[in-house]
Amino acid sequence: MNAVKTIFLKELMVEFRSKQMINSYFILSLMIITSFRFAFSVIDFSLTQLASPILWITFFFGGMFSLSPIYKREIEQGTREGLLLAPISPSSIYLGKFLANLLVISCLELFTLLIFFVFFPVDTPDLLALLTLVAIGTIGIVALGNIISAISSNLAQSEVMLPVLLVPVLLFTVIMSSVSATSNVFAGAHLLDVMQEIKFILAFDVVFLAVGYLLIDYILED
Amino acid sequence: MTLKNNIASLILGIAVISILISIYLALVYTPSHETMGDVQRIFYFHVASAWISYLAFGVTFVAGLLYLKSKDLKWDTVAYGSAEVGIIFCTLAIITGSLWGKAAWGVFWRWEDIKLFITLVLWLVFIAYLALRANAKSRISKANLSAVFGIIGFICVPLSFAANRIWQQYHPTVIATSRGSLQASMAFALVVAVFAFTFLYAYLLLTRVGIEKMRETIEEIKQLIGGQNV
Amino acid sequence: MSDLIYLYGAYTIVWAGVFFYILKLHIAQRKLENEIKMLREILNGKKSKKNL
Repeated sequence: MNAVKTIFLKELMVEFRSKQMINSYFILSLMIITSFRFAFSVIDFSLTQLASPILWITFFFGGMFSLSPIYKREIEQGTREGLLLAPISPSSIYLGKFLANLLVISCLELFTLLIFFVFFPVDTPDLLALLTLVAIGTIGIVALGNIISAISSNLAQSEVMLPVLLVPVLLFTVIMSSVSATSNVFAGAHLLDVMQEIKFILAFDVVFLAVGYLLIDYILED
Repeated sequence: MTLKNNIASLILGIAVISILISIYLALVYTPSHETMGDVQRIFYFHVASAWISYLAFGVTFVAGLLYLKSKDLKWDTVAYGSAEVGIIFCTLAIITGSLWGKAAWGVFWRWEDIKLFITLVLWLVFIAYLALRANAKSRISKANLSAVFGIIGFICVPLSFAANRIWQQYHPTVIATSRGSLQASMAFALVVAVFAFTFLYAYLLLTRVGIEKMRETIEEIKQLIGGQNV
Repeated sequence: MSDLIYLYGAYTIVWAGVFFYILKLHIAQRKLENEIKMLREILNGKKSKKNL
């Protein structure tokens, strides 16, 4: 537990020193939301129907690009060997990085949500349901994004390989269920109405976390 | 080496004979479908291809687990070969499925249908799997990373399937119908087609793994030759 | 009856696909077998030279 805490604090420190993730996340989410807004200003569309996919596409791409450097920079800055030699298990590295990135990305997503509501003013009768969905969806994005980021950091052309590997797995599991649940919430559903989707998203979260915790050892070795 | 060749030839023989029988059963023996007519005969090999692709990806998943457990590169080769054969059959299943759909529904593809969708996702996952292997930096890292990715990709499928069950289904359910929409002769033809394709898969997998082993042998001999030069 | 074109299409694609994949595997197999034979000869040639 101590090791996890050390990695957690170290990650946060690195992040706030370089602000690599924070900057790219802000710019990217602003770009995506405004470009969707422009695209839909020329055609007729129903706000409540399109809002949920746009929101999750923003979260997906924001999460993906901000998670891409978290293992790569260890290699580039030569801190990887030190990290692996330290008496810290790879599973703790994974958990520490997961928690740190979960915190940072959740905060960023709250700001994104504000920008989103400015551009797409949809009614949200049950704000708690929306926030719950965002929270558990983000756990899935970060848990899987962490694993895939570790995998792609060891590959040639890692910038291309990250989306290639992440899209089929993440988009059709967590994002899909979140989009469907969020559309219902925008259409007026309450937390209890989307319980079934929430259960499935949580199941994906558990699977991704378990796989990451158990298998990160094999990814980081060599 | 010769024993292995014999086994491969035996499997190929069984596959060829049972494929010929199943073509006969599918085209001649079974009656035409009451509502769909003769087009329904696509179904036998469509289901068989889909079954083989799921089997092949399942083998990739299990071989990945075995590799991570034993660290024996043999399992990695099996996982790789099975993924490639699986993609071939998955492609065939998707193409025949959409031809069937065009005849039955009037459209090639229904995005709302979860079985079609999941099959497409599986196809994408294993295309990504091959891309990962192509970009790996060393043999060991290729084996490790692709095993982990194959496991993640395959684990998600049943869950994803269950999660999207809520959607409307157009795809005919073949198994588990109480009324039995499938006639006995049709069911028999389907079983034979699946049997034939399973042997075809076994043969393709053996051959594919054999090729990969030969590549490794060549690398070894090349190193031996290089070593003697020094 | 025009629907039958889909039946022909599907059968052609399945069997052509399987056939070409098997063909591809066999060509690769032949090539590698020859390469191994050639390399073995080089290796043996070197060994006998060394012995001389």
